[in-house]
Amino acid sequence: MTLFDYSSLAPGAKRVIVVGCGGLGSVLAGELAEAGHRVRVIDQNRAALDTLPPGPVSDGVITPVLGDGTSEADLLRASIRDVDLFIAATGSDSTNALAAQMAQYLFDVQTAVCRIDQPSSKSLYEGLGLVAISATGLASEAIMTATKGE
Amino acid sequence: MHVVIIGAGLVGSSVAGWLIAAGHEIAVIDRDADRCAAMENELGSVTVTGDGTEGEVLARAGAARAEAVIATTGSDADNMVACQLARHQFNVALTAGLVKSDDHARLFNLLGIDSPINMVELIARRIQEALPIEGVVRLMDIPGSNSSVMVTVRVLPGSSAVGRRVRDLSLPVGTLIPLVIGRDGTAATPNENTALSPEDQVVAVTNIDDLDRLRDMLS
Repeated sequence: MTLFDYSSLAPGAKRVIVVGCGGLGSVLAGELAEAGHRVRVIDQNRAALDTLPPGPVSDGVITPVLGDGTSEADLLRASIRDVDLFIAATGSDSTNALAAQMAQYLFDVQTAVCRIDQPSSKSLYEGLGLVAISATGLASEAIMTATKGE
Repeated sequence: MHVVIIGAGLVGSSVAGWLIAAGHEIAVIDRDADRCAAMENELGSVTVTGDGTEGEVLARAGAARAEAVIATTGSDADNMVACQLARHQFNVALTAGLVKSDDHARLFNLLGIDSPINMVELIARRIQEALPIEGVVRLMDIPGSNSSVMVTVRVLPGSSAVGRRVRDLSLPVGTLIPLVIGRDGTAATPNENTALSPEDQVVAVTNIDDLDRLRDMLS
């Protein structure tokens, strides 16, 4: 069974899974939806899923999935077999690395992105073919850029 | 050899104790300073307080000269990251990690973690072994094979196998019977004339797909 009907998907639109509906995950889901993509957001916490923007959720552009993003069964429930992009954006580096590698190795997802803040792990996972993004790194880069612009 | 253990919980402590008793050098990493202190009371100065998923902490524990890293925390995700760092960043020859689910065990295999240890499955199997149930008890998976297992099957009094010789059983192809354990506990390699008696434990190496057939035949 699949939760999603992609027949109406516009050309160029991507099917995206976001794991983790914290600050990063929910903002990301909203922006991806705004850019025309279909997003399924997995989180174990009902209250976190409730922070998703209500408009796109009621339109079916964003679909909240209550579950564990490191469980094969829950990933299947979120139709991981047909996603174009997988983003692991929980607050835990290890959880993100686990979820993203499940997507990559168990489900052959083309592009798996994970938030990894720990520098040693970030270089490890970049070397292993994941797109690893450090939230703290990005923030400090942005601040440095802004400082230089002054 | 030098072994780094991540997690000073029940599993980590037991493994640490065995390794020290066997003459190995160990370092145990745990985030919890109290748990580290408790372990040092038992085993001496062997702990590093910190997060075993951080390269710097693994380095402090001597990962660079470790021959094995064993991740025993309660988190599959943390165990995975620690083993991957050990393997890729410190070139550790042998990595072992605990997992709680089959899907994670499969992933660990694909990632090249040498020994995913599925705790839930192990416990379930030990419980199964401890219970006097009929049928097949799995003793071990044959290393290096995807499908061969070693099992024991108890011969039930009403079984058609009672009184028959082992060589006359039409066993599934490829099935070996290296050992028959009598009800008095004596173990013997079956020969030409070994016949089965009620309550014998038949030890067999067989294909996992043939377990049901083997059970039907013997019990």
